Amino acid sequence: MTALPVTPTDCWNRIGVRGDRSCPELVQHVHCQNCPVFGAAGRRFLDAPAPVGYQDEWAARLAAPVEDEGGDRESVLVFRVGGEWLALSVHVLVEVSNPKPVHRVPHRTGILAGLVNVRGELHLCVHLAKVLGITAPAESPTTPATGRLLLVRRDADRWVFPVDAVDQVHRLPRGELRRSPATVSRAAADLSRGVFHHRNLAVGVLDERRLFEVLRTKLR
Amino acid sequence: MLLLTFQIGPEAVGLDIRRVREVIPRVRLQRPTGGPAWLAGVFVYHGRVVPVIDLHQLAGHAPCPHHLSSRIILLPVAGDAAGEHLYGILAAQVADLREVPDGVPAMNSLVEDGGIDLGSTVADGGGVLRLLDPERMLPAAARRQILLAAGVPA
Repeated sequence: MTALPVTPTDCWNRIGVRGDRSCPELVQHVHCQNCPVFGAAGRRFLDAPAPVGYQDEWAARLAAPVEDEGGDRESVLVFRVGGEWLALSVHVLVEVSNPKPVHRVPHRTGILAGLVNVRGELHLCVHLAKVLGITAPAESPTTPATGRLLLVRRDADRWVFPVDAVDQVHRLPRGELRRSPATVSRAAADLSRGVFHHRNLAVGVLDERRLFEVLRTKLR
Repeated sequence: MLLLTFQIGPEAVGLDIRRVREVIPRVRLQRPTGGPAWLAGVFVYHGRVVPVIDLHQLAGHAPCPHHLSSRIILLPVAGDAAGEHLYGILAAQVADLREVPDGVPAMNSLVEDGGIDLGSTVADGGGVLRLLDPERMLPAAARRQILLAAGVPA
């Protein structure tokens, strides 16, 4: 334990990373978030009394019986491309990141959007909507607040594709998948394993094996 | 040995995390009429009634403060082979984990007969840390009552 004084002040705003960075402790800790003074200040929030309703809310939540997770389930990430809600197994998902600039490749159009830098690595970025033949306009336009980049990997293949919104990881019982309706475009139907219903939306589950095969052949 | 550290009155206490089933926020507890003074109350945990002991009061200190960091540590009832029966201990500052080397020199506790035994004492930096042993923590009478309440033959 260090003998740093636990000051009731906000030193991080004055001499720390949000101030003039003159604090001598920064040499050792680099960033205020590594400093015990900052940690101790954060811990003081836990000494506050619990907010109104906190104890009752937790009492109700813990009283509920454990949800029976019986049966075989798989985890899929639910996201939106254009007007379509889709899902992809988390086994191939590497990262969800904020939108980044896509650098176009000269003389290449179609499904290849370009190259994207994700944490210092260049990845090929594809238009999933064009791969799946999704033409329906989005019910709500893409905004920087909801748009994300998904980085996926299967064996040695890595792809990045922009999506218009990411919902959450959904635990899907394997028996819950229904066949894709006939209204779904041919390309999308070929690449999907079926649909399930989630919050009154039909979500198409992509077949990751077929998707990676198609991406590889189309961009050879 | 990795310890969950917390505060019982003025004393810093550590509990081997392998003994801990779950740490949950302090929930609204119901005090059953006629219950012993050390019983902070009971609550329903996934359909099962679980007693919660206020270790502060049991050790003769003021009741556990109503802070966000005051939490309930759920432990399996000793002697229940199936591990289905749980009881909770209410403690303050349940917010940290600490690595303590195995075989660290410890002083055995000095406890009067029937007193609460917070466990052996080890040096921790400049201060001392009590190594809580759930089997030794409770006075025999309190332990018997918990076993009876849980329906485990004592």
